Amino acid sequence: MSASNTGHGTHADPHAAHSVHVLPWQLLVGVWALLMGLTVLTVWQWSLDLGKIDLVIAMVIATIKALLVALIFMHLAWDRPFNGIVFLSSLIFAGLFVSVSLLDTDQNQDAISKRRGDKSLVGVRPDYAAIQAEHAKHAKHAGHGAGGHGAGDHGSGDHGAADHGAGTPAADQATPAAPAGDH
Amino acid sequence: MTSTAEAPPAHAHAAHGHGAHDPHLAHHFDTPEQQFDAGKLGIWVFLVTEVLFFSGLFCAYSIWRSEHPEVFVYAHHYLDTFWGAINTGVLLLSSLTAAWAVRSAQLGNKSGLILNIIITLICAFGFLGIKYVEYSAKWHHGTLPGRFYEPHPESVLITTDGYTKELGTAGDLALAELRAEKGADYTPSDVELGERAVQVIAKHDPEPEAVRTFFAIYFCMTGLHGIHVVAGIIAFLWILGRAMKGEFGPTFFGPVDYTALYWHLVDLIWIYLFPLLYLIK
Repeated sequence: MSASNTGHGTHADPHAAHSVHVLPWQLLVGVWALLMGLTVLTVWQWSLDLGKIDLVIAMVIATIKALLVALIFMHLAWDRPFNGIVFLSSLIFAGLFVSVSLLDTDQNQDAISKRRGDKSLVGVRPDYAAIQAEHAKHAKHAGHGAGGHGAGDHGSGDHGAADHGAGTPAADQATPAAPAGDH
Repeated sequence: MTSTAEAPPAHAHAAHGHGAHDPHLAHHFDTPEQQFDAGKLGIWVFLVTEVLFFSGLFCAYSIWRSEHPEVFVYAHHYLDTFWGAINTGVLLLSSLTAAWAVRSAQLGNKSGLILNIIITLICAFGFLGIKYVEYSAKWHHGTLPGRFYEPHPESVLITTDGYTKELGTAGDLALAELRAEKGADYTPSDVELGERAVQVIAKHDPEPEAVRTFFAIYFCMTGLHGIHVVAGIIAFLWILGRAMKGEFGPTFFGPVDYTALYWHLVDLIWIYLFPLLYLIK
């Protein structure tokens, strides 16, 4: 709408105009279309169910999308390299964080499991019979009208927690041959 | 460019004794270019802190998933990939309009700038709306994080083949059983359906242990991301106000650029969250 240098016209700022790199709108729309296409691709690939390699392919596609956004939308391809280096370093350190933690967990998981004994995971399965009993109580209160509703709500939270602390409920004792958990 | 609340009036500049300059050039910078570069580096350093912020949750996800993949395979059936994909598309569109807003500011196109910011905001609200739909469904089914995980028996998903194949909700299976016993038109009461659902759950492969932890991870990651979306909305509303006052043009568009960069990072994080949470098999 306005001329490139507005306001104080005495000396036009020599630095402003030539260092501004404007992205062509066709490039923006093209990259966006590519990103949408890659999203469709990744959902389609997921529906194929290729097994273990699924996650690898999904991450590769996600990384391509990330590169498009970072290099073009975020302008890193034309920026001072230092900005890109700074961002890259964050990814490297985050990667270090995750990979070393994974390494550590992997090496120590056996010792952890041994120490924990049978309590291998936090929080057992929910006590469905108890949850259903709470709901039935609710339904009865609802039938008798308002008032009991609030008390019922507060009750269910504590009730559930107490059950979970007490150990494995009847519901999952009844089930035969539960899978050990690894596939 | 009309003078804004920040820009000192012209006579104050003359009093400086160094001649007129761009009112948006802060005095501790020599040139607008230097100011822009400094601001750019500043926002990139902030984005670094944001990446590291999320890396903690990604680390928790990686460790938990590598140790207990069955929990993820089972629990992900509760997530709706359709809405996740729609959200991805919405955020990608908002990234396009954010980048286009920067372009509009660079060209001094005020109306284009305002339109692009508004579309970005609409997409951001759309994203939050879809998230609300997803979250409220989870609230309804009782699949909440951590110690709040108390799924309603009718909503519990029953699976086979090592949790990979979904048979349906316990409520669906219970209804089918009741109808097989008492006739195809039979409509059980909620209580009766719930009690039968509890039996259905007891009969089939139980869910793996600690599904509640999956939901803790899910809600923490998407919730933190949602908070970042809200922060982005606030930032863009601020920029919108300044844009409407005509502050931005080819010589001064830094704030638009920096806010758009933040928004692109929010989009980047979702680009990784989507496959990690919604595309599990």
